[in-house]
Order: sequence, then structure tokens, then C-alpha cells
Amino acid sequence: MLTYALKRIGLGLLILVFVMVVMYAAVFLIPGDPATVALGPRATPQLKQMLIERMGLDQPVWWQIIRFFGNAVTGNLGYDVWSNRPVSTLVMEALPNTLILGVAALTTALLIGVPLGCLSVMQRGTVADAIIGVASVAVIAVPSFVVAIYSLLVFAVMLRWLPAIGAGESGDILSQARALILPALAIALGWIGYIARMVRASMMEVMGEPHIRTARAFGLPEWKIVSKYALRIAIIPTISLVAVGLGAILSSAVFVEAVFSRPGIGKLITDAVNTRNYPVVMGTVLIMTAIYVFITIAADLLIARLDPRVRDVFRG
Amino acid sequence: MTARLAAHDLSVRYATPLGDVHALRHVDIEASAGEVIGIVGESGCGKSTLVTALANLLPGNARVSGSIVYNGTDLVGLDPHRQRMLRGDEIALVGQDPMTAFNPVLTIGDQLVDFQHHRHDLSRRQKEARIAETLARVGISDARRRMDSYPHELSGGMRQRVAIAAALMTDPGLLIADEPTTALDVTMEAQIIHLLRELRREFNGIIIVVSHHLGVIAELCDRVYVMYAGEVVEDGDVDAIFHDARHPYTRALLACDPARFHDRLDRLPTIPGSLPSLMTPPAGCVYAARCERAFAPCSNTAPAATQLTATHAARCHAVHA
Repeated sequence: MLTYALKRIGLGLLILVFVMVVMYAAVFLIPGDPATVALGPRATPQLKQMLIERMGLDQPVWWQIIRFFGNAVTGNLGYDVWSNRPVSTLVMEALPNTLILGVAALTTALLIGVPLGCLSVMQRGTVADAIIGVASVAVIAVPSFVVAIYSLLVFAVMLRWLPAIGAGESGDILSQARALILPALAIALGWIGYIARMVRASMMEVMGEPHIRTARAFGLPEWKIVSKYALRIAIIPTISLVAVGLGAILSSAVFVEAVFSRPGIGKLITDAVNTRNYPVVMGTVLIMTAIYVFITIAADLLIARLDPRVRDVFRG
Repeated sequence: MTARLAAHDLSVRYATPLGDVHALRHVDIEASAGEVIGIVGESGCGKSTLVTALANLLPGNARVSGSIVYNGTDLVGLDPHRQRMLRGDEIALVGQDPMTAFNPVLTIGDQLVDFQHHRHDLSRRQKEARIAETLARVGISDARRRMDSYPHELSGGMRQRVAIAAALMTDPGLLIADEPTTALDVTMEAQIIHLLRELRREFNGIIIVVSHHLGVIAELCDRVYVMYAGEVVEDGDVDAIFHDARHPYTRALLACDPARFHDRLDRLPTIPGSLPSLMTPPAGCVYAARCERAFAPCSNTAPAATQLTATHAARCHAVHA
């Protein structure tokens, strides 16, 4: 198990390097040099030279990458080109908001989606199953920013139940929670549908397996068969889906944070891309990739924890 | 109370998009406590449907008619809750394939504790003690350690022992073993048969053993039902069936059993032809199309059971008492 974890972490680091190399390549693929793109065509050569030196673009690419990682290890992600504030500070300010948003959305989606999927299986072929099925597909089909705009319109503008913008007063948990509801729901809604469908599909497969027949032959109540005997197995594909989907959740956070003017990583990246603020883009992408890699590893370890067969494969 | 089971005129059909499959037709079965009943026949003859019906585990598209009276209660049409209360308490089933019979992500001990859920009078610790005791009884050494194992860590033979232990733990009045040795290799099969033979001496309920393996049936059972295409074609004491078979199908089946050959044969004998379609069962005898003794009435009149002795009956126009 430990060897497996170490292997996964090593692979994760490789993925980080690869992502940053691609990022650097992307910067060089933009026509003209980044300094010109950032400053516009009418900037003086001196100003351009200054910016190029500040972004470290006068060095060879491989050196830039090595330096970037070297600095990143010590917690230095470079400096915002415009405000000259450390990128790490910017990220640290924005990250908690995004993480809270992502975790809230994911938890909501799991807490509603998994029971809905189970209910669908227990009521298979009934009207309830059909309604859950149709509703799931419907919410999957609606993009999160559309949900964000409409929920904003209905609950914040028309009904005035919840705040429309921001992340709430700092230090006031209740106000922060209220500001979280709409954005979290906007992201979670589609995932509720995804997870319900996924749980239903894998659950249907598991429910046909002989060991479920054994559990039935011993007269175990159906809810126990579903929640203990089937769900432990059926949840595994859902964990993988959610881990992979976290990337999608974070990218939908970009839109949702824009709609609700929520300070967060999404907003930080969008602003940085718009102003060609490369160090901020790089630093933020590195952090997001690291989080993503970490979650994928955590999910794999969780699966190994849940399924003793997987565990043995890694042990042996 | 001594257990007693009587199925009368039991029919099961499966509703499918292509039409109804008549998997079981007008079957009569009787058994009382202390008896070991064998059910034998080739694949697709309705053996599994019969025991699945007895264990109340038929799928949702099955339509059942007739009656299954167990200790005075008709299981057909019993409400689902009362059916469930019988399963794993009065009626226990040992499945066909021990490799897939247990949940792969839960330990053996955890599952066997759950299977005793009808015993509200026992604490978890007491249930675990019973498991250890029963596992030892079916020949598993190191029972305590095995309880912490996952199913994939046990061999096939050991898993089938655990499955038998699970069934025994419920103290059933009716123990059904559906092809208990089919998925095992020959050595394991011999061990499991040996175990079942030992158990039948101490067990005082009804045991039903399903197999297409004649040797298994001959070694374990008191009485045998021979099934073909969803019907019981012959039934009788194990001696009568193996030494005085009267139905042409039973005879053909015995003639195909490699264990009964004295000489080496170049080709194994077979019964020519194949099972009739269970979508549109024949009007006459189900075996008529493959029967070497078929004559005029066979193709349009279903034969009634001819009682040969008090315990031996065959459904064949050519058999007379």
C-alpha cells in the first residue's frame, strides 16, 4: 500500500512538471513575445525589456522551468506583473473560497445524488425511477452558469432571499454560508444528476451479482442489501468519476465565480488571463494541478481502502 | 415441529418480451424432515427454477401458480415480508458458485454475522462465537482467522464450506443445495460430498440437492425427482431410480453417465436431439421428440403419472404398473 502511494505521488509530480512544460509552450505559442502581448503594440522597447526581465523571459526556457519549480518548492510562485504582490499570497487569498465552494458543491451533490441513485434502484421500473431518470438528464444538460444566472435572478433579485454577489462578510460564518448557497447549488445541480445516474447504473450491475442473491436468500432487508452489500461496490466508479470530475467542478467554478463576483481561484485565473499576467496564471495553474493530482491519488487510495481485492493487487 | 414440504401442481413461467417461457409445469414434490431429496436433469430442465421457487427467490417477471405448502403455510402468494422472514430462518440456500456467492468487499465474519439477523436474541459476540463453532464443524481450521478474511482470500472448496456453514447457522427446516459441487474440481467435489454426507446424519430438516451429476445424487439422496423440460418425468427411491428406472429419459440419462461404463469407449453416448422450446411446450409428452419408444399417443396426449410402487412413479405412455 505504501509503495503504491509513493508510486502514485511520484507519478503525480511528473504530471505537474509536464503540465508546466505545456504551460510554458502555450506562452511561447502566442504570436509575438509575451511582453508585447501584455503591454500592447505601442509600448516602448525599454518598458518591454523591463517586463521581459521581470517575467524572466530573457532566460532559456529549460532554465525558466527549473527556476520556476525551484522557487515553487520554497513557496515562491513569482510576482504579479501588475501589482507586484507575490502570487502565493494571491492564491492563498483566493483558494479557500474556491475550495469551500467546491467541497460544498461536491458534498451537496453526493448527499443528494447517491441516495437518489439508490432510491432509483430500489424502485426500478416505477414512476419514481422514471422521474429521477428524466430529472437527472435534465439537470446534467443545463450548464452551471445558466443555473447560476437564473438562480441569481430568482432567489437573489426577485425573492431577495439570498445575496447576489460576493463571498459574505469575512468573519461572519452565517453571511458566508448564505453567500455560498447559490453558487454551490449552481455547480452541484448537474453533479446530482451525474452521480444519481452513475450510482444507479453501477448499482443495477451489482444487484444482479450472485452475492446479492445470497444476501436475499438469507432474508436480509432490501435497504440493508442496497446500502451495505451493493453500495460498497457500486460507489467505486462514482468515486473515480467524482475525482476526475473535480477538474470539471473547478473549471465550472470559473464561470460561477464570475457570475456571482465571488473572489476565488476561478476569478483570479480569468482576470490574469485577460491581462496576460503570466506569473499569476502559472502559479495558479500549478496549485490547481497539484490539488487535482492530490485528489486523484486520494481517490485511488480510498478505492483501495474500500475494495480489498484492489488492495491485494498493490500489496502483491 | 417436524418440517414438511409439499409442492402441488406448481408451474412457473417467465414473462419475456418474446413471450412466456414455461420453465416449470405441473410439478408435484413432497418431502418430510430427515429426508434428502435429489433433483436431477440436464441443463435447462427447470431444476434451478424449482428450487428458486421453493426459496422464494424468483425474479420479478416470474408468474407462479399451484401451491408450495411448507409446514402448513402456502408460500405461493405469501406477502413479501413474510417470505423474507422465512428466508435465512426456515429456508436456507447454498448457491451454485462459491466463487461469487459472497460479497467481495466484506469479510466472511461480517457477512455471516449479518446472515444471522433473524436471531435478535444473540449479541454480536455470541453470533461470532456461533460462526467460529459452525466453521469448525464444516472442517475449517483456524476459524477465527478465516472470519477476518475476505472471500477472495479463500479457495473455492473453502468458500463452499463457508456457504454450507452459513446455511447451517440459520438452523433451517429446509436446506437447499443448488448444484453444490458443479463449480468445484473433482477433489473438492469429493470433499464437499463427504461433508454433506456427514451433515445429513445430524441434520433433521429436509435437504434438497440439485445436480446434473448422477453420482452426487446417488451418494447423497433418499429419493430422486428426474426432471425434463420443466416437468417431473419420474420419481422414486434412489434405488428404484438407479436400478429400476422405467422412464425412457431416465434410462437414457443413466446410459450417458460415464461413471457407469465398464469399458473404455471411443465416443461418449448422448441423447440425440435437444430440449423442446419452453415458449411453446409440446401438447403431448415433453420427451416424445427424442424418445426411442415414442408411439401414436405420445405426440398429442400428455401422459399421466403411472404409480409403479407406493414410492415410484413415471409419466410415460409406455410404462404400465
